Amino acid sequence: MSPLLDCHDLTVRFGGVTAVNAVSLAVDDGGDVVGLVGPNGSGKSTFLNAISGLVPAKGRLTVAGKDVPLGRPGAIARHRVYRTYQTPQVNPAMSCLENVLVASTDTSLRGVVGAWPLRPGMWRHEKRRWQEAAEALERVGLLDRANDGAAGLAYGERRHLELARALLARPRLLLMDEPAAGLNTAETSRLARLLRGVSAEGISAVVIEHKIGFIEELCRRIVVLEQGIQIAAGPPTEVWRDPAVMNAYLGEAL
Amino acid sequence: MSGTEPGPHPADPLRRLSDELTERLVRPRVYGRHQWRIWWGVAVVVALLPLVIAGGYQFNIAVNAELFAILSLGFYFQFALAGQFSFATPAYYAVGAYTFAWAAPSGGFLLAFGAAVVVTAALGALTKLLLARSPLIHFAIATLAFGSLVLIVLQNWTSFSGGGQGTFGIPQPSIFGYLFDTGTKQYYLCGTVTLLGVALLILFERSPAQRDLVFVRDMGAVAQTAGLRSAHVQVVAFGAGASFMGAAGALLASTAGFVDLSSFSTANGVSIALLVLLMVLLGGVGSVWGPVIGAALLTVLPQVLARWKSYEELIYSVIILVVILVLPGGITSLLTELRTRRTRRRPGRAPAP
Repeated sequence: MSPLLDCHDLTVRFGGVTAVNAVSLAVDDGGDVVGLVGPNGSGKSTFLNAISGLVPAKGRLTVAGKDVPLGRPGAIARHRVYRTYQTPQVNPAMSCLENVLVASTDTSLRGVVGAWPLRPGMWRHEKRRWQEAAEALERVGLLDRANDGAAGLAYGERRHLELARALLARPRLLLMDEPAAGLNTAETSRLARLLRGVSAEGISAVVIEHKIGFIEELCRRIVVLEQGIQIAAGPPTEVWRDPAVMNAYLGEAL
Repeated sequence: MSGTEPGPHPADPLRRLSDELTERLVRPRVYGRHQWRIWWGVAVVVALLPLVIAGGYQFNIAVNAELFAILSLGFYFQFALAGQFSFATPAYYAVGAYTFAWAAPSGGFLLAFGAAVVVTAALGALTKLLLARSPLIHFAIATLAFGSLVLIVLQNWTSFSGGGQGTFGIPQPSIFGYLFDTGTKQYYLCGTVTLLGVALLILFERSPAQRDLVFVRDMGAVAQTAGLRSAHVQVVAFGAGASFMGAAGALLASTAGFVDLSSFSTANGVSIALLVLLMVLLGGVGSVWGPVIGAALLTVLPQVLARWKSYEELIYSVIILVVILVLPGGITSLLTELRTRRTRRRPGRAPAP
């Protein structure tokens, strides 16, 4: 069986700089969580951006065996792959509930037809959408803030709001860029528990993270990038012993 | 693309909440607002205005204000909601008017009005579709070129538009045999269409369509990675805004009885594209009645200023500067601001630090 996500020789060039150099990565369906680690500037975020089509890239990308065009934002969302960002991307002008609702997979009567001629049908769908969105908010612990403006959320809460949005979309795969950054110890372990639950339900993930404990708790397998090149891959305990990895991190420390 | 279907999947990340809990919390905030009060306010003003105005000239001004209100509502749709700055307002206005003029003699008022709305909606959608990849400022300049192109085509397609002479003998509005043959009747007809436009925008605001559109406007590519079809949403919204302008054009053609291109370039010496922008900015981009109040003020103002003709430009310039420097959110933001201040001063609350 082919893996859920298969990146083959993904390469991203910005002018003369090769930010991601022929990186391949496979993630299985059904709750496989792969950690993506590496020093700052090693191309982790660019790699996720390439998968989500936010930057032009070369190589081959498939989801469940189907080709996904590169360089088109949203192309992979059609295959139910959603992401969160290093800087949480929420619309401060909208309420928490509205920020989540936009990702509902129920797209019926959401345009002008629902707004004008077919309002009764729109209401039926809307009530179902509100219900799901409330459930997604409950999942991340933000239900009490449903109608508060997203602008009033703390940094960590914004991350959770983004996660609720991704969960509402009923993902098969989540791409998460440093989900635990800026969270305190209690919040980090709560997030790890939440994500373990998500993975146990069969949702796979690619997680970029600097917090080693968080990665070890969550990931069966990690991939290490340095200067856009994959230098190691495997179970966390083995990878940390790899001399190349030690070098890369030591180099950063010095 | 079988991947698009949300079909059954073993993992449902969402647990069922109790009905009681969701009943309490899940209605989005927008449904707690009272937009219909705005509608009733506009309706009362439209209904009672004929008590204070008199004479054909004043009714002409009032009809003009209504037409500009509809144009501004269209521009509000495109600019404030969809985040698309366009200079093509006069083009949609003109195409609406000429389509009406072409269809009205044989098809009657309602059919011709519908034709004007549909044709301009399609033209607006086409504009946005062709320029889907152009960023904001490029889009604005491209619509300037597109708008001129449309007007040049109308100018030279004499068999359709009458060219420089214009089109004459457009029948007066008539619905199911009722003829709107006086200034007062035409005023009420245009007022009804204005109120219909305001109602459509309020309904749009109270629907998921505005939520998606605003998210696309503010979040760019993030919206696409969240699964929204950004291009589609914006094309539809831009077309819908253009159709309002087409409706205004149809009303202009039928109330004036003739159309010629000079009606679409300037009004009181100000370019219509800029005048409509100014109306929306003065009224405020934050609320649907901003464009209405802006249109009313800037149509009446030149009449008031007529006495001080020589200072007109000075007064206009001062208004623009005051709005941009002191009141960037327009008149409606001023009222919101006053309301919040009153709430803050309410006794029993700790004073703001």
